[in-house]
Amino acid sequence: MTMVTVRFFAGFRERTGTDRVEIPFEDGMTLTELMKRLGKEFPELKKAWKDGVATVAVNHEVMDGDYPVKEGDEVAIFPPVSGG
Amino acid sequence: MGLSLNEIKRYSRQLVLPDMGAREQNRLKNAKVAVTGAGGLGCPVSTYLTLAGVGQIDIFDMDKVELSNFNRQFLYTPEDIGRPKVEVAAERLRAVNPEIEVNAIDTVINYDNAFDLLKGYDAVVDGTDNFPVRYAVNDACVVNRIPLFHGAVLMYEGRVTTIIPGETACYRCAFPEPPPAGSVPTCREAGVFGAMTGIVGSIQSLEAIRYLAGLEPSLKNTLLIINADYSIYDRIKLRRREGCSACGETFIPRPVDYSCEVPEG
Repeated sequence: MTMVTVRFFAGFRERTGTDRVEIPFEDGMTLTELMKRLGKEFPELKKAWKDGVATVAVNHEVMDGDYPVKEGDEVAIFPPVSGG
Repeated sequence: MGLSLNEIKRYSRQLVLPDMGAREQNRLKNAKVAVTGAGGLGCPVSTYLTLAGVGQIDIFDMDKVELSNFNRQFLYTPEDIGRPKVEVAAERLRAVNPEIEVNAIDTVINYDNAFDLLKGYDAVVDGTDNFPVRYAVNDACVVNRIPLFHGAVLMYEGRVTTIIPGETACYRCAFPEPPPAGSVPTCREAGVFGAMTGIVGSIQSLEAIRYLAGLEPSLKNTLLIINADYSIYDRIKLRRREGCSACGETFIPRPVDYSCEVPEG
């Protein structure tokens, strides 16, 4: 099984209790599907993704939900923060 | 107007930089900048703009100095508690650099007034502390075509990006929707180290100074995420979002309503 690294930032890191997870994926799986899978384990993420509050980058570049995840990709998920 | 002997001496350490000179320093001198927020980010931002010789700095904030500011907001002293932050900040900064103009604007920024308040500036450097104001500042800068130097902090994380309307992704391109009211902790609830606001504010001001001097800023279309736990710096490439309500083809006003949230200092 191929694994992909997912990193969490700011509030997502606090709420999931970790800054990265490795999750399995199948060939051709899109970012949206990956987020759905993550949402099962982390319900907070599911809501954030649905609300448009989670910005997702692959290999340090913001991507849309239809991006097909590839082996070796590093996915980063981050919310906006507003402290000043 | 050229530089006086005093100014040449005052700015000599930056004038000798390879990309800097009298022409660039004059650009700074003729620049008019708005600093939104006089808190953890506003202190380093307005200080470094002052030291660099930005000709006019208008500082916007409506808060008064409180004891809980002092782990990060270095422009204030305990004697200032209860005074408007902008008034104290402007006094200190004028004393630091009498060559420039610093104005205190003791007012709230919201979606109704941001578009008028932030008009005619060469740059806006944003260090406000809540989403409604951040989105208002973004939309006002996009509509008024004013470069926006964005910075934000929370807990162990800092963010910086440089927004040039019409050229780069705006704040709404990166974050189309603010989190629902009450779902996101503020600095008061979640905490922040003063040194972190110093890092983020310093990078924001450096970007603004570079831009105003006519040098290329380094964080266009790039969100710098700084993690203070592990000293990790991530540069995330941003893209303009098609149909963005702020910088897309048609501007759509979208105020963020957090009316249940208690304002934080």
